[in-house]
Amino acid sequence: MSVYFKNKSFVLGLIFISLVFSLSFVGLFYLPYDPNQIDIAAKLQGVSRSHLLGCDNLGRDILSRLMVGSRISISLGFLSVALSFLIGTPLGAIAGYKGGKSDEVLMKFIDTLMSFPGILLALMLVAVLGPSFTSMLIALTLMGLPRFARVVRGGFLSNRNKTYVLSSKARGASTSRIIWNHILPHISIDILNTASITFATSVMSEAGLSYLGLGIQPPNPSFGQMLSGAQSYILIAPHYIVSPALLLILLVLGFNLIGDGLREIQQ
Amino acid sequence: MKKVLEIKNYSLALNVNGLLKQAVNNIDLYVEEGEAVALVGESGCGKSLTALSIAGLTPKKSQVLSGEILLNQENVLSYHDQDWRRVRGNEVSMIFQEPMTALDPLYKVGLQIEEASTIHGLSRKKARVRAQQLMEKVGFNDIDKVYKMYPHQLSGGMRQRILICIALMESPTMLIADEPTTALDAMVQRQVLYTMKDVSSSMNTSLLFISHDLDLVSQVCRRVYVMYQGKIVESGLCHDILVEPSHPYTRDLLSSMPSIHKRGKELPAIKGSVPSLESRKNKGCPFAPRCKQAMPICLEINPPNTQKGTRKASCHLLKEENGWIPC
Amino acid sequence: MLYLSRKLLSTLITIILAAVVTFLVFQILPGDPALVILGPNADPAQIANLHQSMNLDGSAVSRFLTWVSAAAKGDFGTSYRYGTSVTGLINNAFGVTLSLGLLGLLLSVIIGIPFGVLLAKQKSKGKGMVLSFFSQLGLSAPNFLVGILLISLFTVQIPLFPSMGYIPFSSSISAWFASIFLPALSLAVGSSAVIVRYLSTSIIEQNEMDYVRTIRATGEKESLILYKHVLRNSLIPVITIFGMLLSEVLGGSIIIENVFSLPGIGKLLTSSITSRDLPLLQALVLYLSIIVIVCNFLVDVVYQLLDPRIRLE
Repeated sequence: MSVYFKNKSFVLGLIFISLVFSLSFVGLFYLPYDPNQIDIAAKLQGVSRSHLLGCDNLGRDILSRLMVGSRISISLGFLSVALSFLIGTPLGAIAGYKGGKSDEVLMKFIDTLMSFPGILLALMLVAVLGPSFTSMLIALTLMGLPRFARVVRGGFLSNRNKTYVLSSKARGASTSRIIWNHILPHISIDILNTASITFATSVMSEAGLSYLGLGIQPPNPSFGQMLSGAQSYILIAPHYIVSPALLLILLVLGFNLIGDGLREIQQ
Repeated sequence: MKKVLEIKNYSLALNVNGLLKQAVNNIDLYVEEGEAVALVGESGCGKSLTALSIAGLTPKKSQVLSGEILLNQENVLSYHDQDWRRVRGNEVSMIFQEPMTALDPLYKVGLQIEEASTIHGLSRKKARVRAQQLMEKVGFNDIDKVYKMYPHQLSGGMRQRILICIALMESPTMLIADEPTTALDAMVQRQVLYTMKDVSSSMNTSLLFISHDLDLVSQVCRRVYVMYQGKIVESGLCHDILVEPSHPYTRDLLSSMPSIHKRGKELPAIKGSVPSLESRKNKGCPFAPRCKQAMPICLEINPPNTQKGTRKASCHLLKEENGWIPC
Repeated sequence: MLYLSRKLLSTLITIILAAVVTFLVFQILPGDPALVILGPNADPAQIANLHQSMNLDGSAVSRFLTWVSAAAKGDFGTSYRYGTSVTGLINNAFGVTLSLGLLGLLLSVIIGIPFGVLLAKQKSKGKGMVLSFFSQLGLSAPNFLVGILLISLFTVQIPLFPSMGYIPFSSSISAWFASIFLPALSLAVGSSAVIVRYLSTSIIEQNEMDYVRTIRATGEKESLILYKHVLRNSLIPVITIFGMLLSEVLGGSIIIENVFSLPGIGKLLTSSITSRDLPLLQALVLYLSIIVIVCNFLVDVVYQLLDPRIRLE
């Protein structure tokens, strides 16, 4: 356990995501203001004691909006990563362990999925289902799925002929025992690394979609939306764009650093 | 005879997790012009590190503690990068144990042999001629064909012979071979061994042959140094040592090696195993814990270096009255 | 040769599967396209007529086959919104996205390779960590954010580039370049970071290889060892991620074209979603996926050619 905490990337990443997580966690219980409350008088007000991060162009409190917006990004991230993991891992395991026909068929499916750039998949779903939390969730899951499948498959392919597996087989161990007790522990760090990086990608993709207006719809706040709105005021009211930008980067960077740290630890 | 290599009182330590551990312990070794000398010992005894020191290829986490390594009368321990660029290939060359991964997979082998000389200023044309001459010497038949091949198209033995060519392109004074045949099949081993010996002696290149196999090296080397845990425990003429080893370790090493003569008999093993670098002590004879003839003094005091004729050894069992003079 | 033909077949199958997926996804599209065109108060007879002429009455399979066979000939139908041929619209937009994508990839390589080498060379922990951190930052900054930043810095503060619009290559090379440089740079930041990390890891791995020791023992200069031997070997695995990079660049251009108002495929895509322009949308999706599939195939071919170990199998 301590080896994780000695790794600088891992620790730094953990700190970054904790900052954002705690902000959004606090937001579950306490919000300085109603995030959707418009107050034209306070329009584009800068950082002040009453509005810690200032106000947007409609006078809404940026801090409150970020606390709620980050919650949406984080939950989308968690759910989509969990689903990608749950669906992608067994697919990858079968492909990697069994090999042969099942591998070919499964990989064809994965390849087809991967021939649609991530954003495109998301756009397709939004086109069909309309912009909503659900369509985003499905899109992000589909985007992350191939990654898990590939990593797990790779892990199984490289491990299934290793000596420790063969000697287990020779002792009569069952397939599931080999998979659970022997191979999976070896690739667990790879899986964690993939999860971390996929989380980062999910948050970024959601931001991109919301920026285009095809993700989380107003008035629900989200990183992408706020950035889109803040764009026009970047020179006259930079505080509007700085906070969401920083928070978003902090979250994404944090997960990327954790992934990095995990990889370093493995080596 | 001129000494092309002279190692005096050389000690090297390795940085293991922040601690310095002595891997090579005050060794003395020399090689004369045109001579073939062997350095023999088990894995972990420091023989490879010694070899790497001569070519300046020791790992970054190592530190020279004492001594000199005189290559053609110049101390290489004081060399900088430019000196090494001049000296490597020209005065000292080295080939290693694993031929399968020792060549750049993206370049044809002929080109790689040429490069050994073109980097020292020779023209491509002349280098190519020299390369093909060497290839003939090492025993290649279809030279033009092999020249244009990529490493992965050649067998282990062939690759090792290419590596020998690369090493000898600039006619170095000395060739160091670190277990060059260990990774090869038995039959190919002998071919490569004799090729190496023949070609280097035809060029008057001295050979320092590192191995764990005393029997094997005796086929090509005149003298041998036996190393254990960083120290040279015995040295002398190969054939003499094979017939009558003086040091208990050498004796055990010889008796534990399989050979035709011992067919059907149980193979004795040396009791215990080589202690790891971390657990080595600096008191007494390094072999004492595993020595069948160990005496109490062996665990306490380092045995003196003694000499009897062409033989040198360090063991408390070797008495002055038997002709062993301290040196 | 055999491998290549098998790969080609596999690629074709993937293209067909992509077409099937594309068709399936959009056939679940709720809502009646005819209503979209004619308006919600349209006459039912008109709607029925339009249904027939738009061929919305057949079975899914027959509709799929009609669509695919027309597509294979380059005919993707007529756009609901613009009323003109879809193929024409795509062709007009294609040049923009192509310029953007190519320049984006080029910049990624130009930035990525030198920094990748630099990162690999770092011996001191300090400099290495700083560089590594910056490459992580490059990965973590969304491309549209970079775009916004670049716009505010280099078009408003320092009016060097136009903030929007596209000038075709044929009109004026310098104006064309000026109009796509910042967008391409926004894309390049993320992709170059990927290259930096992959390449530096690859170089560090290669440096440990035995053949490097062999070359060093011949007296070769360290810098030449790097550039003549290690770099070539390190770049080969990096090529395998080019397919993924291209996919990212294409995806990224969808957003970036919106940020910089470039009339490319991405812009067309987003507007076709809001206007529910089914033929255009379907065609665009298929188009983009085919580009990705074909490029992956080409990358594979190039990879085969570059590595003699595979080429001579």
